[in-house]
Amino acid sequence: MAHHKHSHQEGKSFLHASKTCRLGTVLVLTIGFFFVELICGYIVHSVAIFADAIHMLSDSGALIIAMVSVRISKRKSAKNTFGWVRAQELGAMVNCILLMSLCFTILVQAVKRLISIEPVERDKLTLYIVVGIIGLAINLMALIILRGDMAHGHSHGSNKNKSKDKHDNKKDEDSVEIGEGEHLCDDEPADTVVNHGHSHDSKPSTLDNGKTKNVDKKSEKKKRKGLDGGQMNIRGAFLHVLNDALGSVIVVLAGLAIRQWPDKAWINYIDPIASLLMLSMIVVFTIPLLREAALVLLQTAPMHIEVADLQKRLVEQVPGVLAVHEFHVWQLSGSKIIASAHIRCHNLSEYMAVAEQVKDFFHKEGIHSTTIQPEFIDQEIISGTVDDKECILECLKDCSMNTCCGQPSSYVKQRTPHLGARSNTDTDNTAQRSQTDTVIPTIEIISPTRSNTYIE
Amino acid sequence: MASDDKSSLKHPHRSKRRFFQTKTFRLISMLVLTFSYFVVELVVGYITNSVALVADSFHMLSDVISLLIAIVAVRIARRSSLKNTYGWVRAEVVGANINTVFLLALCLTIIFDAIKRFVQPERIEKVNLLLIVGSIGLGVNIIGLFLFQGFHGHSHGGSSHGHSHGGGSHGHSDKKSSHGHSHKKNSHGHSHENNSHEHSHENNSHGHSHENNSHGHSHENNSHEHSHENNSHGHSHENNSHEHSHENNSHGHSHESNSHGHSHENNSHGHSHENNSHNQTDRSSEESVEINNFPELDGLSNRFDRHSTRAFQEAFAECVQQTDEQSDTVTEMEEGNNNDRNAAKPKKKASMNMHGVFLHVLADALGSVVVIISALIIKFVPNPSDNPKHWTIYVDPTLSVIIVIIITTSAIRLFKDTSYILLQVMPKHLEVNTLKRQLLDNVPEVHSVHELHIWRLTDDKVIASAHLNRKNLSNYMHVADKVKKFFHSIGIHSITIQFEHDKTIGTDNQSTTALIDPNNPERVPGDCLLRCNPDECEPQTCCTVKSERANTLSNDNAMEIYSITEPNNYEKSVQTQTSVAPSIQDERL
Repeated sequence: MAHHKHSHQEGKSFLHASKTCRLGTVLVLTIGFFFVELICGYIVHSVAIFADAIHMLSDSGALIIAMVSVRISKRKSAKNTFGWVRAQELGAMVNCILLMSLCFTILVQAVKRLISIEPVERDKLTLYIVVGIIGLAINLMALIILRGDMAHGHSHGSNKNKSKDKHDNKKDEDSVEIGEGEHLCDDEPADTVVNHGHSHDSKPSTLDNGKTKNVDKKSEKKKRKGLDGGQMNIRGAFLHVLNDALGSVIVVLAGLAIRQWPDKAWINYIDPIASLLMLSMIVVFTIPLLREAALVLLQTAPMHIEVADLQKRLVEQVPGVLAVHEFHVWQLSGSKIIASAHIRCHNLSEYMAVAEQVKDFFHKEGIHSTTIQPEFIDQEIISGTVDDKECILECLKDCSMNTCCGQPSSYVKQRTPHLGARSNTDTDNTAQRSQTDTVIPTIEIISPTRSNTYIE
Repeated sequence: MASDDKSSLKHPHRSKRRFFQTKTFRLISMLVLTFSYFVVELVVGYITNSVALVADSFHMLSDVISLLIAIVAVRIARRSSLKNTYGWVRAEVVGANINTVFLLALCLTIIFDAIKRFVQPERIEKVNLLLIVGSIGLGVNIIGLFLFQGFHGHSHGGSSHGHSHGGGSHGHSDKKSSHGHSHKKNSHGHSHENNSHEHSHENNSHGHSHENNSHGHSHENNSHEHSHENNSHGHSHENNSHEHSHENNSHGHSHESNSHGHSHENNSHGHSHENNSHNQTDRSSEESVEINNFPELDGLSNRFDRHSTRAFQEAFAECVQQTDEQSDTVTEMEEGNNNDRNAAKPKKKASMNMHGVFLHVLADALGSVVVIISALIIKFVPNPSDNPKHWTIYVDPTLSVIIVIIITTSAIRLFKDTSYILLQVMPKHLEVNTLKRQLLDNVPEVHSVHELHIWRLTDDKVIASAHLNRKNLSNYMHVADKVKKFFHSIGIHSITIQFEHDKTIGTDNQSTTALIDPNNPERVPGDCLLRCNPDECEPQTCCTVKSERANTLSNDNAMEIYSITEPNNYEKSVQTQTSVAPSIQDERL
């Protein structure tokens, strides 16, 4: 990876400017070229150049979306209690869909041209090639600038041809998965920021993966959690520009081929077929990003967190927690993970201690924004009115349509029905584990006992 | 409007025999229609070597794609998952979002196409073929419009309908004074609005708020005073809401928890309905009462306005509906600002997903109309000189642009709505600072609020989480119940409240210096007690310590609570003062 180091040092001053600055540069480039093409097209009356200009415009649209979402994500608002941090994920998704629908229109064009061949006019061939080459140059520049954000562990080849491009992009996807926290432009501290959450993780396999560059599929998956909204955003813009660059490559290749073999019949099929190939490639690149952004927006738990397992461990590992229900873990943006849970405790006196421990538990799992609702059950257990799975603080039944889950999933410590069945080892265990507790609750006879079997 | 038909749709997927009325069925039947037409067009286009036909067939394909997205979204939303702790209910919102973006992109390409044709006009040949294709396409799309109309169109029609019904049922439920009955009536009245079962409940609560409002008003003779207030100052709703909430509170406490919750409902939706429900009572009792004339007149004229516009709307293929609806609300704004929320609310009841598909189909139908119109013009307007740049050529692109603008306006609105949900924005009718204040007032046992987060999972599922500081945790379940009821009253039914017991609060309220925790001098009163070490995990928490401190609202002075509890006193300045206080201390340290 010497290559990569080299280019990093080379372009450090510029390539590591702020995200907005980079996007702005690329935007100016594309818009400038758009006007150039527009004027050229008007002068030589070429519809093809107009079409290309419009393509450029869609590119700058994507860049504007990316920029706006970066801006929005920094804003504060009274309307949004989380701030707008998610704007970048949304921007990435919108860009993906825009790109896909653009692909769709290109597909339509290509199929149309396959059905009824439009021969290219020979006299304008040179013009095509020239425009294609300029467009390619501009797009390559844009790619290199945007790549600075994502360049983190792969070679910077010059994307002179398609296969190389593909190669590079594959690598991009790998390297991008190393989250860089908020400091997208820093190199070294970034890894530590993201991996920090994991350094406490019970699974050591995820540790330090950020720095290993070998392509291990499984560890790659683990690292995926670090994919920041900002990177998604930039990646969306990047894919747009890449799409454009490939388009220019195809134009140039088709033009050259026509010039080379002007009389062959198959020559007219080169352009649409190459377009189709490019389309499928772009779609293949876009879908993972789209999926990623959509998953965040759908409130899924981050990849590396096994929700059921976490819930189980919360009950098992934290003494004093009898049951967990309404357990929700989701990803706000990037590495910001939010959890909320209703836990059931014995009684009030041990509450703050238990809460502390639960907080600590989540902290070790890399979840740092938590809300834990305690519920105390001693009275209800005596009367036997409350089921383990039910939340004590529930709305009236007619609100169940508007709750987030019709059927709350709960994870409950099974209680043995006999009051005297509590074993001594268990209580000892409790005392040991909660040594740090200032308040060790006096365990009442009626309080439910803990055992190691669980029901779902 | 086959009302019995629609009301049976409330639980579509539960009963198999109702399958033909479910969303999935409608989507699939439309999908089959469009897809078969796509194949036919493609084949015919290939045989006749007509590029126009092939292009149109791909337009159909875009329809097919958007329908597929919608179907997938509906399917996914039903699934449960281990990966997602909320299930996939948001899939429909994401699906709608994707569909709108897709639609916007298509609109963009249509515009580009139109520009291209302005620059270099293309001669249109095979006019007859175009006419045939256009009319078949129009037919298919009109079928589609009818299929999806139930999910979208009725929501508009229903808004007036439902309200008048609500007014009527109000009288009945009044006499019977049984909540069960009023439930049923109201849900009937509103069942026009939405046929998807998820939303029916929201309606119920609506019905209640209406009912309760008019209830209170008609029983107390103050009602007219209120109406005057509302009519004159549109913005006075906060004050009003306050009075009402207080009234209702007293009501609620005397009643069972059931009525308590519902009377609270007034707080949330009440502000927006205030005017309207008032008008309803006026309208429904206009013959019998006839005491107070001018609000009636207002209401009447308004109603006629609405009806006339609605007739126009339905005639006009429902496309301008939204803009009309808006102009409706504009006229209502003169009467009181709050009404526009009311008008907007029932509209949103329609499933967003279906709304997205509806827009797609609508765009397509209008596109077919344009094709037919331009083909007819080209066919029947003589073009003697055979001029390639005759004006008839420009009809098609111009009309296309106009239609794109119409579609875009409604698509952007839908996009905004869905994006707001995806960005975790609070529901529109809630305001975070007011809410904190109200919470502290309603539950005086709570000392301060921090990390209050409110967001929507889907359009009507609001989720809240908050950390509350208390001086001591005595009476825990009682207070928790009160907080729960408070959130219930504002329409939030999924909450997670973390209570924290701050020992330092109880010791000394007055002197701020005594509030510093000796163990942790960094801490400021009102801070979260259960927080990670700020240096390590800051970038991974949703809110930084600083922003959290700025957003903390606490009752530092016990007397203040009661002075503020005076109605009509929710000034912003009070809130900001109290909320800023901790951060000032922070700086002093």
